[in-house]
Amino acid sequence: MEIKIVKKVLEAYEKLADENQQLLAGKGVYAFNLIGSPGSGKTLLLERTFEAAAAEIKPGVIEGDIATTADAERLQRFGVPIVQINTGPFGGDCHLAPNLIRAALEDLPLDELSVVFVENVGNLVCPAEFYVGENEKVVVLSVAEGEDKPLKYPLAFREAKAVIINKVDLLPHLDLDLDVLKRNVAAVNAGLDVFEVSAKTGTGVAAWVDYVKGRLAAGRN
Amino acid sequence: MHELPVVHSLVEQLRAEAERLGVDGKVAVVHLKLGALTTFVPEAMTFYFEVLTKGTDLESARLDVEEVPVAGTCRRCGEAITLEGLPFVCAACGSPDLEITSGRELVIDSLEVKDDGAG
Repeated sequence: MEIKIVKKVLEAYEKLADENQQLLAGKGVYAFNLIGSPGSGKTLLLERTFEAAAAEIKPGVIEGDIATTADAERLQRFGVPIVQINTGPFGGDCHLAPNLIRAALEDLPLDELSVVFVENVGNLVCPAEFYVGENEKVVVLSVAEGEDKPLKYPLAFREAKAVIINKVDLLPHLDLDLDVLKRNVAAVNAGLDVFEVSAKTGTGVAAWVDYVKGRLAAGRN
Repeated sequence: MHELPVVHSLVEQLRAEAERLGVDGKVAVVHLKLGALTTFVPEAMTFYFEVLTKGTDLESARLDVEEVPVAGTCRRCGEAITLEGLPFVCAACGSPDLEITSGRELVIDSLEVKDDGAG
């Protein structure tokens, strides 16, 4: 005998994520979910973003790592509210789940914020899979990772609205062909906004910051 | 590695469903639909399923994973498309402007239950 069920396995996760989005929307807060490999430059991008516009965009940060509070410490100098989530201490989850985001949101002063940046655990696979209640995912990909990453991790690039191609200052030292990388990004998702950035030198950061401001302005209207 | 917590959720849901339907201990096959665009690996799902159901009411149940292709409609020409691989473009007109409607599934589709003849 066969019994039809048709039930989503992650229904409980999705419900929690939807509630997170309702909480954020109710406070007029826009949320970015930053995903990328370990060392792709997510934290430095946030540092540059806050140097340029922390007073204007009123950010809060949820830092996800398996272990350590190193990233949160790097961002402390901006005086922005930060909640560090550790999924470890030695193994831990490879992504942030909506229930962890809920707890973190409750620790942030959402009334004082316009935007929350969730810096997900460094990983191009699992964080792509989970909606945590964000308005959009942004992939941070460094040129040192190679041209083929969009083709190898298509879900991350399908789920994102924008991609930061970071560390372009390294291009003279690499065999990477930037045009091939951009073609591969477009093969997976031609609708992505693409930013060529060096968070180290500051190249391209202004365009990204404008994009962030644009999203917040659109959210307010 | 992220299949483990997902299969854990699956097993908990199956227990609740089997109890609700009064078929606990009788589930022979669990039919799961898995979208091709997800990052979950069928072999890892079935392995964790075996591990997590061992010694429980679901021990004799087998997890059958059916892959659902990435499919949708082209927003430019209206063609129904099924993608076998990259790139994400319409096979008919080449447009990348696609509405993807399937390929992200992770759904318990149905249960096959042993008929124990007891009526």
